[in-house]
Amino acid sequence: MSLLEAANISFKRNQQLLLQAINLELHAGELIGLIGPNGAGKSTLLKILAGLQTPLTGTIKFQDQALTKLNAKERSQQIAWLTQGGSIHWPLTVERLVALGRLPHLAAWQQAGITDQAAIDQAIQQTGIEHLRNRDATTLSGGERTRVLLARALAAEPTILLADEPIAALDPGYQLQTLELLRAFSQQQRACIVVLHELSLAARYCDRLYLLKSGCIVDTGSVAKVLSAENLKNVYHIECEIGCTNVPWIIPSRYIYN
Amino acid sequence: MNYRWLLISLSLLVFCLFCLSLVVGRDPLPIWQAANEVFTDHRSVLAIILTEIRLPRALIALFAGATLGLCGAAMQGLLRNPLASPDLIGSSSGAALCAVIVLYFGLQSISAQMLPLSAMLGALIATGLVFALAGRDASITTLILAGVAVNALATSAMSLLLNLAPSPYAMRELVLWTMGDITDRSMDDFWLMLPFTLIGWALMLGVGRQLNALTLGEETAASLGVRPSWIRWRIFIAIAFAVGATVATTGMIGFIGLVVPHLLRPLVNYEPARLLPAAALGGAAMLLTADIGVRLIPTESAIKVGVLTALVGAPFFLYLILRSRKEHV
Repeated sequence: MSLLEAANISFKRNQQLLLQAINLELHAGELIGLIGPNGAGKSTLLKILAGLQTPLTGTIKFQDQALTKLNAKERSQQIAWLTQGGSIHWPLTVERLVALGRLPHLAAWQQAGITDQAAIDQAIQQTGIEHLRNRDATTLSGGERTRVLLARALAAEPTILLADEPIAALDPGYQLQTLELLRAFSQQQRACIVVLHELSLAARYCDRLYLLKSGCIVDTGSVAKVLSAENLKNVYHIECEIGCTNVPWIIPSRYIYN
Repeated sequence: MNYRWLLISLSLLVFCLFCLSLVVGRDPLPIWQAANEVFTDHRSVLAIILTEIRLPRALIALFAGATLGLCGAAMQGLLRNPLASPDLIGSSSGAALCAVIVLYFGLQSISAQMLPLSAMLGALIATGLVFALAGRDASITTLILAGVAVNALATSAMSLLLNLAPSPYAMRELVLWTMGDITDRSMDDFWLMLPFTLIGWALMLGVGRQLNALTLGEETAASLGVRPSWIRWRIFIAIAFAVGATVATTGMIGFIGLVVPHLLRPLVNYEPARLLPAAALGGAAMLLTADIGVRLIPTESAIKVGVLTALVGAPFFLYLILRSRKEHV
């Protein structure tokens, strides 16, 4: 079943066309990678899919129903969005910060209950931040903050998780751990779209890839099809060593100056 | 500290200060005797002092202080900025300007509601203007600069009116009014201020969680189901109602909205939602204290309470700036 379906999405900011004719489909159980150079429009696309920005043209359907039919609360229960970097303005404790993820599930005067606490505890445990539980969230390192904010998104127990570069600030160990976590998340009726720059990890963990350049989808499909030497040369201007021993690997070897 | 105990102890403090405010004055009031006489002999001097002088003063201090604390906390939460407050970003001076216009032209003779209504309009215009000037994701500097500009505009317009005042007596009245004062207020003044204040407070109900979500920035808050522009307007209008009504009654009383949330924030673990009720109680406690203070300080002519809060608050503001500078180094 298609969980999320975007058809003919285009988006304009300051007279500049940032996205053109994007078609994207996310099925239940999938982990999809969104790759492409800086400024290709990946983050903008993710925001549009999360319903945070209105596209110039095109429609987005969530479970065969227009996304705009859902009100803000219903939408936030189904779709979690994890921003790139992400700022924390007050020195809340890590646990209180993760608890913010439960907001979509609470009625106006409802206090957080046992199920909410269970979701919070599980998210904290999954992201390996138990030892940070009572820390001031503004004093965390970049990698720690990334994991705390991921825990916040997971605590919402969404159907769809849209994560913008969730592993950019992480060490190799946590990169693997986080992608394993997103892989495990994308089971049964749930799915995830993740923006990545680590091509080897994208090749290893994603079911399908969308390759973006200058607001257009250049190629889409299986990992082997999208991550071809020709595509990488065209989009990133790089030559790569591509191979597969136990796991697939892609090592950029040379930048091509025009 | 446990949150519930914090609220209970603040409530007790406010209650004690409220009672003290009824007792303390140039002549101490024997409170039990006075209270007794209120119910037995309405015309007695003690009963009149209690119900027509002390009680409205204490009630106005209670509600005005709570409004200032609450609005300060709400605005700081909304802007995610510990240096914001209704008086720094122009709401209070906008309200004061419109109130002075009404007083100057004697428009309050048309209807008693003219004063609070115009003050509310002024607060709304000034706050809206600052936000329009500063833009959506304004930095602290931009916002304070816009606030300074709007404050300057409102103050200069007020000066013009004072300048053109028809008689020295009228001028003195206006000047004293702008200083922030709660002496010589009657129960009528309190009843006039109360409904608008309560409307403002009611609009703040339930915004706490949204303010918590804004800790993560506007976009993430939006992804959690919060509508940032809606919450912004709601808080603007709430502040316009509550601060407008307060300023119309008391004149400008500065710095409570800045200082109180600041002092209480660590005690609620920096959570914007929990700060709102705590800051309301803290604001009430602070204004009641200041108002008792001005009665106890022996000066030739009584110090206005707005002058006292500014004398204490301005150095505190300087301290905040110095501390934030240290953090950035």
